[in-house]
Amino acid sequence: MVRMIDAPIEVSEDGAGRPREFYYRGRRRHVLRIVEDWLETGEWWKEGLGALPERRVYRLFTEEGLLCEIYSAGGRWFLYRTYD
Amino acid sequence: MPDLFLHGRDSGSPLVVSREGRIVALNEAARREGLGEGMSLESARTCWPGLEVLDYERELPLYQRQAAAVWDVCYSHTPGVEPFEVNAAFLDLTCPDAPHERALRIVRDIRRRGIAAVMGVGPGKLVARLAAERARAVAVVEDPASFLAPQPVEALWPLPIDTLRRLRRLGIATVGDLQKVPEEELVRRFGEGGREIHDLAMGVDKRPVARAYPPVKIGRRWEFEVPVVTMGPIERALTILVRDLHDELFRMGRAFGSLTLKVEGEGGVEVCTRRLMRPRHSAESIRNIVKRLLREVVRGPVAALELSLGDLEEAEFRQGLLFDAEVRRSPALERAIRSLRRRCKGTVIGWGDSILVPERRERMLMLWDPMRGGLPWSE
Repeated sequence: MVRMIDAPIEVSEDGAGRPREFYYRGRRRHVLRIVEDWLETGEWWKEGLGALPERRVYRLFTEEGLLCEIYSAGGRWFLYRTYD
Repeated sequence: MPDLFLHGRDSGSPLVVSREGRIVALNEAARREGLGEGMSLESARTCWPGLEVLDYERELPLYQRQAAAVWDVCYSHTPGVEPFEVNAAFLDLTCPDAPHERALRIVRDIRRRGIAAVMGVGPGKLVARLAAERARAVAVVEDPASFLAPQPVEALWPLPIDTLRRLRRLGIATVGDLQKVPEEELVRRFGEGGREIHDLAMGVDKRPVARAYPPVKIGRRWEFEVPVVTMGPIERALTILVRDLHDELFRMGRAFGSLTLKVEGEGGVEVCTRRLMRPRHSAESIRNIVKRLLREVVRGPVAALELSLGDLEEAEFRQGLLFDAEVRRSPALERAIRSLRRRCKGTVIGWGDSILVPERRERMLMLWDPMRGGLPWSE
């Protein structure tokens, strides 16, 4: 089952702006490997509130064996989902 | 072998995949160092302390997702795709064409994506799987009985381990030995199961390939940190679940025939399923059904939500015709075009003029008489 979270997180980035580790619910998660990353253009055709913003998404694997996706949008980071 | 785990990871240094303390896959650099499948990981690490190791169980969720990309390729060739391990699937290649050619096309298609693949082709799953273990690209078995005869009786992998041990105790070491035992004798010793043993020994495997991919159900789950009592957080969570599920449904090109909403709360679990008269695929359809179900299933503080779309099937997508006057008047389309022009800094889209096209009968007549005109035309 895919678990949706979409919660803000603190992320430490490397020199290239890629996530190195992040904190969620008081636990530090060290990024073992970035599997993929891509840019989502968001719902640019919608004007006003409620439209999805542009975001850079990273699908990554942590040292604890967690496969998840995090994204950065508007200067903030979010944990989007985890895969069982 | 879980070679899929090595895909995209080969940096030129020795890299192995371990499972239960043994090496189950390795890259070329590791082979050159003298490592091999079956070697104990402890021994390998003693000799190469800096050895990079991928743990099969820990990395499994990642590679199950990557394997899905391979199954998508297979599905583009045949609807009969039955994954049975993270990196292995049975395919139904029943067709009048040469199976070798068809199998080769599939293997090449997968390899074009940079993933090693081999295929075994036979009259059933038993032989196909054994042939794949010996294939460099594609191995076709045309005489299954002869192919099986020299192999140890344990090659009959569909049989239970107890049955295989009993056959060994009876002095049956190879499949060829088993082929010489009359079917009636096997029935006498093993009951009706003896018929299946006899069939398998002769290379007859009647089990069909199940259509197990793509999945017929997709779902998403949301867990609240603390149970919520107001609808705001529940609706926000459902908005995200609906959007994400719809994205996956669209990527799969599928429509759904049923929707299930499960709510977990302090009072227990409530599940409600709605089956549709006809399949739907739009996000709006999902939202509308969820709105109606929500009233039925929310009974108190909510700790978690699960939303699933089931009975998936191929969708027929219909796109609005841009020359349709109704579509042209759509405010949403106007906003989209304005936004596109801003992003592209200039006019890149404009409305085209509709072209007068004569009705078909008139067009046919004009082929004979180009001077015709003034008769029924349509936009």
